[in-house]
Amino acid sequence: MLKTVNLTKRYGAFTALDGLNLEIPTGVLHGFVGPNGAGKTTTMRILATLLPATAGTAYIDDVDIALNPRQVRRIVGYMPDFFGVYDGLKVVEYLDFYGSCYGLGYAERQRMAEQLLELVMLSDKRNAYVDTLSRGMKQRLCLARSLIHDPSLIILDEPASGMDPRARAEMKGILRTLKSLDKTVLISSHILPELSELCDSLSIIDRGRLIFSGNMDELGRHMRGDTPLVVCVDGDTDEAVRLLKETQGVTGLELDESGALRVAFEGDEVALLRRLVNGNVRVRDFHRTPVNLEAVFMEVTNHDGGDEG
Amino acid sequence: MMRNPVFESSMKRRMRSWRAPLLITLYGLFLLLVCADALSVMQRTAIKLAGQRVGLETYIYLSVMQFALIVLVAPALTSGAISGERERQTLDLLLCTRTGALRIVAGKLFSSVCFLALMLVSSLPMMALVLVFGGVSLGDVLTMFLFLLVTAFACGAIGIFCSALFKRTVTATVVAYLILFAVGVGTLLAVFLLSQIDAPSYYSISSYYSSSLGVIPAADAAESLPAFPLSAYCLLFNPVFGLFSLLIQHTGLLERTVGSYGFSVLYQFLAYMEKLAWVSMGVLTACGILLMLLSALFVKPVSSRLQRKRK
Repeated sequence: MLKTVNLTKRYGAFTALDGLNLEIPTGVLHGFVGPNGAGKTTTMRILATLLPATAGTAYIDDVDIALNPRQVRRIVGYMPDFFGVYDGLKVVEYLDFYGSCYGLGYAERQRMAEQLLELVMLSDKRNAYVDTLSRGMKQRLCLARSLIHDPSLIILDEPASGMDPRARAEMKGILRTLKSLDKTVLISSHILPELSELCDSLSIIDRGRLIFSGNMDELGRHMRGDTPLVVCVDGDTDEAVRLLKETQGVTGLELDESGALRVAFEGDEVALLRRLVNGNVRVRDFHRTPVNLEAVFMEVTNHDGGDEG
Repeated sequence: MMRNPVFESSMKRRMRSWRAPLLITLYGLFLLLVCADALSVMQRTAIKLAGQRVGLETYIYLSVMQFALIVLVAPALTSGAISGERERQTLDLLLCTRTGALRIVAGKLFSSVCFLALMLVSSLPMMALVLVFGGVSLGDVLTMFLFLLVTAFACGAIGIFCSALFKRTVTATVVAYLILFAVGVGTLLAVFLLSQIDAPSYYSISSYYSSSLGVIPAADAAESLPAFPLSAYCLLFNPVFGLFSLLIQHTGLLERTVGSYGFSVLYQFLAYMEKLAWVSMGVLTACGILLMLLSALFVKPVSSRLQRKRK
């Protein structure tokens, strides 16, 4: 769906993007993470055809964004991190206007507007003036605006910024719905726990360079911080320890402060659990530690000067 | 133009605002005052003017005042069109749609021109007074209306060009008025300076007219006229001279106004170029279109042609 080839952007002597090579398949929700000034917004603006690249190129649905920007705009929906709204327009008129800008017919605009207002939970505000909406409602409306022409790729630059926890939860729900509609979503956010919960895959960028790109499991393996199995047992852990040490695929084992066993294991986890249960080990909890995206973020972006803003 | 969503949206928002009816009301009131003042002055003069003369003088007053208002208001309406979108952070949302930069610029410009047209239309009843007194035909009034509309378009285009060029609305507005001032005064200055350089050409024209007792030559006598130097034609870019040309054509007056202040050559040029107003309208329209196209270039984020060249 999306492929960048050595995408580069320079502003004079400053290199905002340095040979970015990114590939995102169709139908995934892909996170795009990095410190402030890493090049996330620059990348997104280039993909939305708002900024020309200095070198390299990008393809969206095999369409070169530099040679066919008009065609790309048909298949991309973009929601910037900062945006304004028009005073004097009602919510439904706002969507109608942008639908018209995308070349939709009247009937289609009306239909899409109603569907999207329902999706973003603004149906009851259809006749309200846009400038009277709260921040969270405006964000949701802008998301609806980016979907009005039914794009296959949606680029969201910090869609939940400035939103309260309830509004963020609502936004998460909307993004889950988009995922179920088989849309490809590229989303950047600083709210990393939510991102790790939603995303199928992730890219980390720093100082214009791609540090990592892959799914969440690959991320866990890639980083020094691994994602061990956590096994909590009732009673004596000796039998559990013996069984685990004998199991093929267990490469490390340690007991943490809370008495839980942290097991470095690659293999059939169901079979391992069955082995423990059959060995009369009273397993109370058995799960794999989720990737702590914040820890990963801090680790990969730890360089002299820290966050350069 | 009605299929331009930017045009439709701009018109809708403008007419919903309280400023639009207020502006039209103030405009009408102002012209009413001008009209009333002109009539009362004419009533108070020692020599009572014939009815037709009253109509002609009122027509001149109204036309000049409307022209001045259009030139003052048009850039103010358009100089925030694009820069305002940038400041409100709505321009990116427009540019990432399939509506191209030219349609965005055209939509913004024509929504302002249409509003100005509405203001001009609202003044037509006052112009109708002129018809009551006589001296000016309906065709003349409509021609003046068209000329003012073209002037609005050209002045608006200057505003939108500055708006596309500069990030801040304040800067765009100031520069737009500076450009208008430069065009208004600059063309006059250019003709004056060039006439000093090319004095023989201007002198021979002036002598010709002086020897003809200052009578406006008939069309067939124009063949024997010495040619006006090319430098005089830069007046075509100055809508003031288009206005005066129209007023001379429609009223036959202004001889003393233009001729007696040392601008006899200019008056002669205006009279010589009977169709100056139409030529001027053509030049202003062309300039407006050119500025509109240039504005679109400055607004466009990514040009596929430029990218093909780079590749």
